[in-house]
Amino acid sequence: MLESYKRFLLFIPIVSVVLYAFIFMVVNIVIDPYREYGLTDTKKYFQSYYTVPFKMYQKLRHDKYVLVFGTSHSATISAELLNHKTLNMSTSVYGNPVDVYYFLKNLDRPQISNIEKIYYLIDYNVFEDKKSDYPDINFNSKIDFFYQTANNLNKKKILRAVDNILKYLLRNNTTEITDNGEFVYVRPVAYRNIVYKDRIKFSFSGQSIEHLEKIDKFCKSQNIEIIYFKSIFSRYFLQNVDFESVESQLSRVLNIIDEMYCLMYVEGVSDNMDNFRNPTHHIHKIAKIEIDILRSPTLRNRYRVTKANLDDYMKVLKRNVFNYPIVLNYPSSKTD
Amino acid sequence: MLFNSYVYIFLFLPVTLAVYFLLNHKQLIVAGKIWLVIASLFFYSYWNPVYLPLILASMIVNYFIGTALSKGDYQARNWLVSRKSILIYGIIFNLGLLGYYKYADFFIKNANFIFGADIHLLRLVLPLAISFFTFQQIAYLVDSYQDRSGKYNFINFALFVSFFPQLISGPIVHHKEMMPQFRMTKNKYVNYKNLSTGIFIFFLGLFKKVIIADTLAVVAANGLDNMAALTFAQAWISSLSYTCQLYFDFSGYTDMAIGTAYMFNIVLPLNFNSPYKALNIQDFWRRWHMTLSRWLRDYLYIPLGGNKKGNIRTYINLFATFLLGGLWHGAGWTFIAWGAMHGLGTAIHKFWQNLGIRLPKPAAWLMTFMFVHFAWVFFRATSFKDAVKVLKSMFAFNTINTISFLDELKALNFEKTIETVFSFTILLIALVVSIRFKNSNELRPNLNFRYLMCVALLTVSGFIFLNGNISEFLYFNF
Repeated sequence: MLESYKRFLLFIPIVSVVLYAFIFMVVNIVIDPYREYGLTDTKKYFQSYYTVPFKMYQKLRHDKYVLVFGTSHSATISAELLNHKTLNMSTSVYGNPVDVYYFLKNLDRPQISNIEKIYYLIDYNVFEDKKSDYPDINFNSKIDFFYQTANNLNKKKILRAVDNILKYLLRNNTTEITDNGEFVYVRPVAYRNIVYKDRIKFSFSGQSIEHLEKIDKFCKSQNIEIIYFKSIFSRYFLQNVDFESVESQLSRVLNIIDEMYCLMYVEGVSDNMDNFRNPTHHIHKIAKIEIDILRSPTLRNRYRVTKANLDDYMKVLKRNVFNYPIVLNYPSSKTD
Repeated sequence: MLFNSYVYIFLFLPVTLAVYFLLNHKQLIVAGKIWLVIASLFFYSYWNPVYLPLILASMIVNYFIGTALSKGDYQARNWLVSRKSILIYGIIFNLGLLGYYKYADFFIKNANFIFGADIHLLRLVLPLAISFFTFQQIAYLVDSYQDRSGKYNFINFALFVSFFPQLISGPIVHHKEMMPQFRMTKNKYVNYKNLSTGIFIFFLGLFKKVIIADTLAVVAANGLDNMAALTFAQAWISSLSYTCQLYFDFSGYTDMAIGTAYMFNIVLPLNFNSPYKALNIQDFWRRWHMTLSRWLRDYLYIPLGGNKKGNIRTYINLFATFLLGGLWHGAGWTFIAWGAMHGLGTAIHKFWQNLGIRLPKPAAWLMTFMFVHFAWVFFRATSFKDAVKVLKSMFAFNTINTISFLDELKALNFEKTIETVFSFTILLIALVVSIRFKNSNELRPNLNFRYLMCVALLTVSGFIFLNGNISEFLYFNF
């Protein structure tokens, strides 16, 4: 078969293509670490930044959903908490306004009309300057979906595939991700403290603020209710935050949007480290409290911040955070 | 343009090859060479065309100086200056360019420090490949002066300097080994054996770069740059990662260069021969960046007197050669310190050799490897403070077992345990491969299915790991 180098050369691309196709089949279809194709009954522990929106677009075509955008701090918000079918985009689209805007902009009319409400966690770290990963992706196209699954077949996906197999074999995973994008903790997680060397800054950039304005206008023009909020943090974390940066971020944001529900410090919750997995991530029970507050007009009004009351809010926040000593206890594990 | 980019692999290389061989097939030999020069200059300026005039000017000036230096030409033209003066002007021109672009800020910084002056830094961007094409052309000038170079036309000379496989980071080729190959008729037509060999070596290099070097780069950077303090294990893991990263990055690049040149039927000189197997420091330099060692020997060490002027002078010459070799790598005191360490090491080895002392092989290997490894810490560090931080941590025995080994690895800033395990496995493989396995120059494809699978596997794994992870080569900075 390989009696000459000419033939050897000819076979290199052929065998390479066959080998690539084999790896594609095994990783993407059989192991399917991001559960993109869903042809085999695999658990999902990871999400692809690029292909989850395709799934969400399909779902949104057929039913009404509440959408959640944000970060890992909003990843556990589920249909159960919201009492409504929910698509949580916190670990896929994430919370940068640039990506959120392109996700919304590419929806067609029926999909837009199926948005029941949007919860948007404006987290402290979502405003980095970036180009959207989505402007040229048509989330309604199957060809684009296939291209993205080939395009994300890289080192990360191969390692995720191996991890998927190990997690399946060892059954030692702590989290799973549902098809609607929610993070579910399936095992207790030990508290992990973080010692902050520098003050944590709340960032913003001109580009992302611009896109936040576009999101707000989009929702207003489409009559979609959007609830902007900030998640509950531990007091210990807030004691390590640069308050000037908090104030400037909030002030920039509130120049664009009318109001936001700043739950950063909730009395009785933020003070107790038993409520947290680490200084910024609360346990599921607290996500319920968070959602209860946001869903109740009376309760959430206590945390409503506008341009007009920002100064007062900051004073109260600083008082709540700094009038107490830093107290940390370290529970061995958390159960939800 | 990077070898490890899709645009190079799928577009630039196939198009350049196809047009080159097509022109030669049509007997348009000169057009084929011009095409290669144009393609090479495009390759050079793809990233940033700003320095294209610089390399062109350098080539033109050196060509005319080289021609003027050849004896026949010099006598025919009745130059008013001596041949030696022309050579000196030529070397000053080349070193002047290199000095201006590479070392100006270094000298200004030091002058400011010593004299308390406030001279503004020039903040020039280092022109790509300047260290390499400067050395190649100095060698050409010296050989022209010594009547050791032939008479070349400008196209051949331009191709010798700019031939894209070796242009950016070597191997530092010598005109004597390149010019005959450019002239050889049989090299102008497709040779399927060379094409197969070239593809095999190229993808072997790609594998080294994207799977080994780029994986270890993350560990090295996190440990050596980002962490304020390192434990004993972290210091060793991150420094060993750098030791392996540098080798696999540079030898991967060289393999890709050699592989590409093979496809054009051009054999580039070897640059690496399993350097981490070396049994002494001299042996190391016969295996590491061999073309630089050859250049330093022929154009610096021997002109300084080599070993012909007694032992003491030999030690001094060795030390001076390595000191300048260190400075060639970068404008910084840590590079000079690295060069000085190697100079001192080589001189001590020579002294030791003169005494007739022989170490047992395992001890000799361990001593050499450790010496090279510790010296890389200075090479990698941006300041002496950083180097000392790492070296101190490498002897911080009190930090052993303070946390679990997996946590120590994870603290090197990995997202997931699987990535930590993968990186650590790659480090172990890299160490074993570089110490125990055959060097890539000893491997050639055979016409059997096993090799076909091997090439396909290298190709596919290279592409998959390249996806979303295209990074520069370390030696682009030198």
